[in-house]
Amino acid sequence: MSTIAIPKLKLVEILDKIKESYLLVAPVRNQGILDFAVVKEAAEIELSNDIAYKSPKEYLFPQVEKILRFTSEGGLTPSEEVPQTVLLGIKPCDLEAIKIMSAVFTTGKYIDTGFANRLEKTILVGLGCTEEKSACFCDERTVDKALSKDCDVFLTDRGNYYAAEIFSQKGQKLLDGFCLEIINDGERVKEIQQGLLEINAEENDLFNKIDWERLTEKCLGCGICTYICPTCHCFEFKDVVEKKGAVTRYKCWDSCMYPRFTLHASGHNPRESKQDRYRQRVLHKYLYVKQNFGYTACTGCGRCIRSCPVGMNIHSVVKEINNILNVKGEN
Amino acid sequence: MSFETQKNEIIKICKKLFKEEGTKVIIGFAQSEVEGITTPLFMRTAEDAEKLKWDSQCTPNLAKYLLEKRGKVGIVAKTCDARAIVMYLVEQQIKRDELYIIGVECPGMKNNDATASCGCEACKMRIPPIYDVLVKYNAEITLPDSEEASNTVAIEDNLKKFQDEMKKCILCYSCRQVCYGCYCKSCFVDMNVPNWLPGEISEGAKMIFHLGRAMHLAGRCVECGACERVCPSGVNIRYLIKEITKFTKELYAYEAGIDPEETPALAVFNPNDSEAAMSGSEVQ
Amino acid sequence: MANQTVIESAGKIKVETWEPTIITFLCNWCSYAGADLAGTSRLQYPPNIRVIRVPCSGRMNPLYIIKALIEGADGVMVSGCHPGDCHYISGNLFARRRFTVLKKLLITAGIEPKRIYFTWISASEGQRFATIVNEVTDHVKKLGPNRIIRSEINEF
Repeated sequence: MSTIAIPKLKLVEILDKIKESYLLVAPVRNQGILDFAVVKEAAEIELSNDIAYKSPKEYLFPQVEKILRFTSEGGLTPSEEVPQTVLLGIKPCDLEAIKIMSAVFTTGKYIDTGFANRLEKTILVGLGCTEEKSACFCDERTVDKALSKDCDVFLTDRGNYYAAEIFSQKGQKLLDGFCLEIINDGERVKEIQQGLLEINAEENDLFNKIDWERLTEKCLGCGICTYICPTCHCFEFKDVVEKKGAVTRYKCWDSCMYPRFTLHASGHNPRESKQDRYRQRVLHKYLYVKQNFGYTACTGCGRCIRSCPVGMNIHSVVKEINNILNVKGEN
Repeated sequence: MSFETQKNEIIKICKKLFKEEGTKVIIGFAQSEVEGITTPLFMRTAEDAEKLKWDSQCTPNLAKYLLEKRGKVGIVAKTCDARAIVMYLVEQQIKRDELYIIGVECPGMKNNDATASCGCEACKMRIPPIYDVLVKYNAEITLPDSEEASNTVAIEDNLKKFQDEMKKCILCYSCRQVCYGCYCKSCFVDMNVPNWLPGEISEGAKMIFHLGRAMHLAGRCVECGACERVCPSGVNIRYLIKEITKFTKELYAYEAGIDPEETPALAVFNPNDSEAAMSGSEVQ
Repeated sequence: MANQTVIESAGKIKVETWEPTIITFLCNWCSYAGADLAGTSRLQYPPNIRVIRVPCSGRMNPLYIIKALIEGADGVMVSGCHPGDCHYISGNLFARRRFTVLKKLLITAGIEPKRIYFTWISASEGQRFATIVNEVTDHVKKLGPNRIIRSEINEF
């Protein structure tokens, strides 16, 4: 579709207008920490090269979601209304993640209506990166940091204006009526991919030939990597009994790094130690999602590497796995 | 250059330990692949010792790994690590005779932007309280002189301050996992029966978690600052624990992690203890 | 009951005919018997307390108090045997230290000190029990409803 120029001077004004009819969510810096938040004043939005410490997944897949409520008299209350939302300033790595999450939640036999509903009512506005931050490795995944087409509108910083490429009707509708100039931004050249980081191996080999205990020795099992990861999507259901015999069912985030994640009612735990759990996390990202949906569920955003209190590094772990398997394969 | 000489000294000690004492593993610090991040290092051979890092960014508290290791273990311990080790000995979690502590005089750690790291900004203790061998810094260390401002805000503002911090928390429990003192097999927040936290992630749930954790650390906190350093949302929760640590020190003359023979303040009593909490009187 | 605390959507508490709810933990051996004595002696005290019997004040998990306050109790009162009289010899002496620290913690977190009461009442002190309940209820009434926002309106 078309490309539009949004002058930086007019951006706040346009966003303030958009805010009147949509819930606007964008990166905001609060006490030095950049995170996605519901915007109160368009001027506080920070569109920069910096990456928010958390991914924007919580606006499509909330940390806690009320699924239903029933009482002793029966009756189900459907989940709450979702407002029309504009999710602004999503980096290509996070857009890739949203694509992967949609594959998990909205394709196949079972469809997560909450997620599908939110996704339908959300306009995704992407923003390109001009340089890599420390620990980013999107260039070794299939993500192009400067452009992504998995969104409705994509912004590229062009000095005193943003070039907004529109990819969908929703995006067109968002920017209609602002009398913006259509420009020719030229043909984009996709940046050259470096060596792709992935695991091509049998699950059996990965279980048996890798010394997971050594690889995960320093892990504390805190699970922060899963909370801030753009593609982690495990959840649990929690039934909360209220005082008058009413029960509310919540869908809450869970993390495969917690021992309770796989704990059976009998007390048996199939993934008892932290190396089992970390193995699950790496293989889920690099093997299982690929087997099921065709994507590798790691977009190279580097969040888990930057936030880990003990410097666990999924990038070097995967590299090391490949090294070990290659060496063993040759022998 | 004193970090450098200390580092060489530590490496020499590690090599000697592997050779003469038959130590299985020594826990130390290493540079991570990403600049500005220090990661724990598990040395098993003399070659591994060459990877050791010792500079002003070695902030992680290594003591927690001791709980998982059995057999002859060595550890590079700066002051707060050593204080945590003392507490583990007091609480009978590890055995002293299986442990070799390389105490390192710590001049205070720094963040990437050269400000004092969380936990170091008011720490006046430079020499670890327990060690088998001490590696001196051999240079002038400037101690932080600022006395920390005590909690002087009005009680109404106290609640607001607490609630503002709680708004940031996402209940990921990273502060618990990283804390040396949180090693319960099953944490109270993970329990189903009784269910201490409400099902919803509400402000109340966050308050119960942080107050409960602070209470469990009363008189046990070694002020390593790991909880605040790890928090991805920047919750400044240490002020709560700091306040009660100071309080226990003043009232019961007990400081955690100094003397392995002393019983923690809340595990003993004195018949003449203060009646400060009784009805009518107020805790100040 | 007459407990009509209305929480507006903005999170402010509106008081109509508000009566405080005070969760009271009494030790089985002294204070609970003291409360019994107050009852059998027909002493009058406010009906705002909700008594929970615990084996000993040393059994009090600080989480009980934290949870009560955050789930919406307006006050918490704990009572045990006088020092030296504990049925389990020293339970209340441990509890005293724990409770002093907890009170300091709650004050730092912004809970008014007068919402939390710790006291000693023996089995023969029915009159003292009634007096203390009166005192506690007075203090909590003066303070008004607990300001911690509850996630929902609780009706007891």
